[in-house]
Amino acid sequence: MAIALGLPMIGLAGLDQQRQAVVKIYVTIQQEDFRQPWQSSPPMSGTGSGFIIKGKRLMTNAHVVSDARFIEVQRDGDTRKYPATVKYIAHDCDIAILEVNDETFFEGTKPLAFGSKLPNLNDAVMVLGYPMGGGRLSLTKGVVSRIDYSLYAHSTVDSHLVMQVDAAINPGNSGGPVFFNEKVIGIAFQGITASQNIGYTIPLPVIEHFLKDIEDGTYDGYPELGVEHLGTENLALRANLGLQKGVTGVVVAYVDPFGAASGFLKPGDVLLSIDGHPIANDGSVRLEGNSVEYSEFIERKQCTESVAFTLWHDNKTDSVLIPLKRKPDPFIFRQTYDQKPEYIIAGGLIFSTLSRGYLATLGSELNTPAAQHLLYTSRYAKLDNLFKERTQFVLLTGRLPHPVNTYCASHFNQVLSTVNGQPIHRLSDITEALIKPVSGFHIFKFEGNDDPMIMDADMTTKADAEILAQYSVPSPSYIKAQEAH
Amino acid sequence: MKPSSRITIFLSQAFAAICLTGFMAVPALAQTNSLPPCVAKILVTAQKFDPHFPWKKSRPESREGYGVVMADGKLITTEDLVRNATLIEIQHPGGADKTTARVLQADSRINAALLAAPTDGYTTAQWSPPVGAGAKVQLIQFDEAGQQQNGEGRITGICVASLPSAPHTLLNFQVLTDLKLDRVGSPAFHDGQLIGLIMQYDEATQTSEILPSDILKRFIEDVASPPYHGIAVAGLTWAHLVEPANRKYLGLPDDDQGVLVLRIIPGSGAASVLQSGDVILKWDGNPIDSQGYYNDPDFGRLNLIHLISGRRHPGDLIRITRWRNHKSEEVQFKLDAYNDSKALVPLNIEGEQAEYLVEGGFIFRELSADYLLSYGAQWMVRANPRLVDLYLTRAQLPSKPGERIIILTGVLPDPVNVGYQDIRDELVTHLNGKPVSSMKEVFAILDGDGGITRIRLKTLGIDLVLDKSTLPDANRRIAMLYGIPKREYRKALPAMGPLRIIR
Repeated sequence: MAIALGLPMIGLAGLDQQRQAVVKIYVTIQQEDFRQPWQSSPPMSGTGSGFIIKGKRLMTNAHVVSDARFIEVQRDGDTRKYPATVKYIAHDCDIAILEVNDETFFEGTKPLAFGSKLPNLNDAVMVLGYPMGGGRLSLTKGVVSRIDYSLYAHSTVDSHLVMQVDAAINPGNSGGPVFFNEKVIGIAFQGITASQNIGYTIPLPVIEHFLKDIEDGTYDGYPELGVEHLGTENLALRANLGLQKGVTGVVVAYVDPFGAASGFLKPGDVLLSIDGHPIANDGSVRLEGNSVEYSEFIERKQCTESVAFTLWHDNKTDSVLIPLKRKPDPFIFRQTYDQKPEYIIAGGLIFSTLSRGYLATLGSELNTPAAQHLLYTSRYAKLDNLFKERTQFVLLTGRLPHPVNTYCASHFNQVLSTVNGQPIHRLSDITEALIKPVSGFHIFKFEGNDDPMIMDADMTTKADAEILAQYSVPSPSYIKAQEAH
Repeated sequence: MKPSSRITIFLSQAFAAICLTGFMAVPALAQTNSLPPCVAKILVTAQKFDPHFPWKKSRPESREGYGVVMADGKLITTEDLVRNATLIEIQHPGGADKTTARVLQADSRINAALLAAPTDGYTTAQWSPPVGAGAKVQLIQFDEAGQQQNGEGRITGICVASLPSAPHTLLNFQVLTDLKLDRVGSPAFHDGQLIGLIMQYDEATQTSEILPSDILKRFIEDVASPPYHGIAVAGLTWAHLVEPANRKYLGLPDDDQGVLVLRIIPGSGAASVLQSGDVILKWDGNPIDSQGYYNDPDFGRLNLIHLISGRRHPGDLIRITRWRNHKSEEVQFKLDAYNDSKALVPLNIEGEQAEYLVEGGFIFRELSADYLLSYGAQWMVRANPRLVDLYLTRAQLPSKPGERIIILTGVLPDPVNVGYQDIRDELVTHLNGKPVSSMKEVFAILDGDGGITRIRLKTLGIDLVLDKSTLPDANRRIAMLYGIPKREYRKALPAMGPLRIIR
């Protein structure tokens, strides 16, 4: 088969060397329940793949071990399972590192080595792992079909380089290594449903970025420049910007207030070059013989580094050095894992925060105006400056029915603006606002709604304990410790 | 002509009726004596404008329905049947001859249309006195051979509910019947007298929704004394006031009476005496309960909307009892005429041609509900979330009279707009550096400056720029290439909707 395809054969000895380092991962996960945030969903079990890298560690996908309560790993041909723990997890690029306490697990194994560069299109690759369809190690082969930027489905918002292969990749393959010339150059991680022979792997540059990031003992994540640009192909636009003939670049159209460029760049600035490389009118840069998006330069950097731009603004050239410091962005609405949702229950009313996890629970409710407003809020929070002084959008997500809250259902999924006259910028503001009722009432006001929700303060307080007991809620609230701003 | 069995239009998916009905057994007796021949078949050819390319019309569609002769030369039917009609013909149920009819007045707000056509060979239907729930109903329609099909039914519900043809609420009869009704506009009789027209039939529940004669009669009277006034609106939104704590907070007596005023449409008659947070205790002398119901002498417990749309006319002075600052007071104000053109995001149910401008391949128009709904059943998810949100939260609330949302629906690719061609469904804030909030302002800028050369979108912090010197050539090229007969459409003054009148 391999000969027919014209692919190089991988020696049997070499294969033995590789298969001993590919492990099966058994996980028991428990996802958060965004509707009843005081409890988790029922435990579910699943399997994935991983591989031994140097330093007696295992590499796998973040999505294999996210929300894990218990992890076990097993080597090919071994009946024993060893408990493992997550050492590093990078949700933005879907990579995790596991540790196994029992040293005997690693006896007789040799860590897999990473390649030094990405293969080219049509180069033969091999995927090892433990996909569905059987219990033992599986090997599939194919070629590199495409190298491109694509969305990483695990975080739902991040895009990085991906390597598409036509080797079969199926559920269970996730976290398994992809080999080229006997070296690891990728991690199998996602596919497209209703497609054929399209398997996505995390390519070497993303793995290397991750490994470099954790060298200091913590994972910081990718820096976010936070710039939207417009190409300068249009002659009228060029003339308006005062760009001379032959000068190339892209014009900044939007600067994300939570991105690294905030305070350094503004709309109308023309980015002429990045780290000394000229930017073309469509935003591409020549790099090592290839044409890549200028953002590729940011992609290769760590949060401790800086990026240098030459600019054209106010009819002169300028230069700027932007430190790629990572700022916490509460409004990116990345899918979260291993984090309990925050909530407050008052008078049986469940208040929580707007999150991707919560939006995913809406289902058919999405066709209601309130849910549509949430969807709009999640996508345009920054663009339309909807957040103002907020660090969280606080919502009424449901109620634990009790006579005290019988008539409160009409405010579900609405964004809370004030409680007892005090603005609600974060969930914890509710606790403080409830201390001071207005002439014996709690007055909840919602955005864009002149119909306030009014509750008798004494009755609410009295009902609280009863409601919590009746619905087996262990705690009236869960609020994370405040991050320093 | 292809017979059409479609009796609802796309809007019904988005705005389902909210009305509870009781179900009763109906004696399925065959009707022996034939009812008077006062019913005509109506054959309609209709053509809509394409909201995305407003100079284009979609393929003509055919519809069939019925109309009822109410006077010599005049037929009444439902508005959705004759909407966007390019040709209306009437046909005697037993015959083959077709004669042309024309619309005297159609009103989507109440789903009624009055047609003018020769009515020789027909008799005139008589209005029935008001009927209540439980009343027996006779229904008729005709098969392909022109033979009359008779059905019996019973009124199972009378309520204020959403129209199947538009997002408006109106008095509605629900009739449970064994006759499978397949066209709109067929009549419902009680003792041989007209009680309404069929608007919709649901085969699963064997229930049809009927536009009551009460509404039709008022409509015909209105048409008979021009100018047409249309339906009255109060210009406010309100909410239930059931929650005991809320009532206590407002200091209301414990009598389960009153609704809470939420929003007042700026410039409406209600704005003179009502504000957000007021409570309405009585409307036109009728006590209003905490869910907005009153006791109607004809129809029983009804939503107070019927006191406005079914009992009053635009310009009528009405008295309400208002609760503010812990005391009640009688105040009065004039009702307004319903006028879609006052909305920030008009519905444009009739699908009238939108004002537009194509400049340098940029297509500008005002946001309207028909534009959003053209995205199909999943429009809420498929259309731009910012535009959907504006419609859902602010449609009736312009911040100043005449304010509209200007959108760039898309860019027709041409060398003049290189670099901008992927932009679509964006909100436009400024043109040539000037704020725009209506097509009127867009045209004023076009006329004043001789061209649109700077476009500011809400999403981008920079202007998109077009070259003024090459713009006229580009406009000619684009018009030719994309087959645009006119690069702009301006409506004659005033915009759509009836004139506001004071009685």
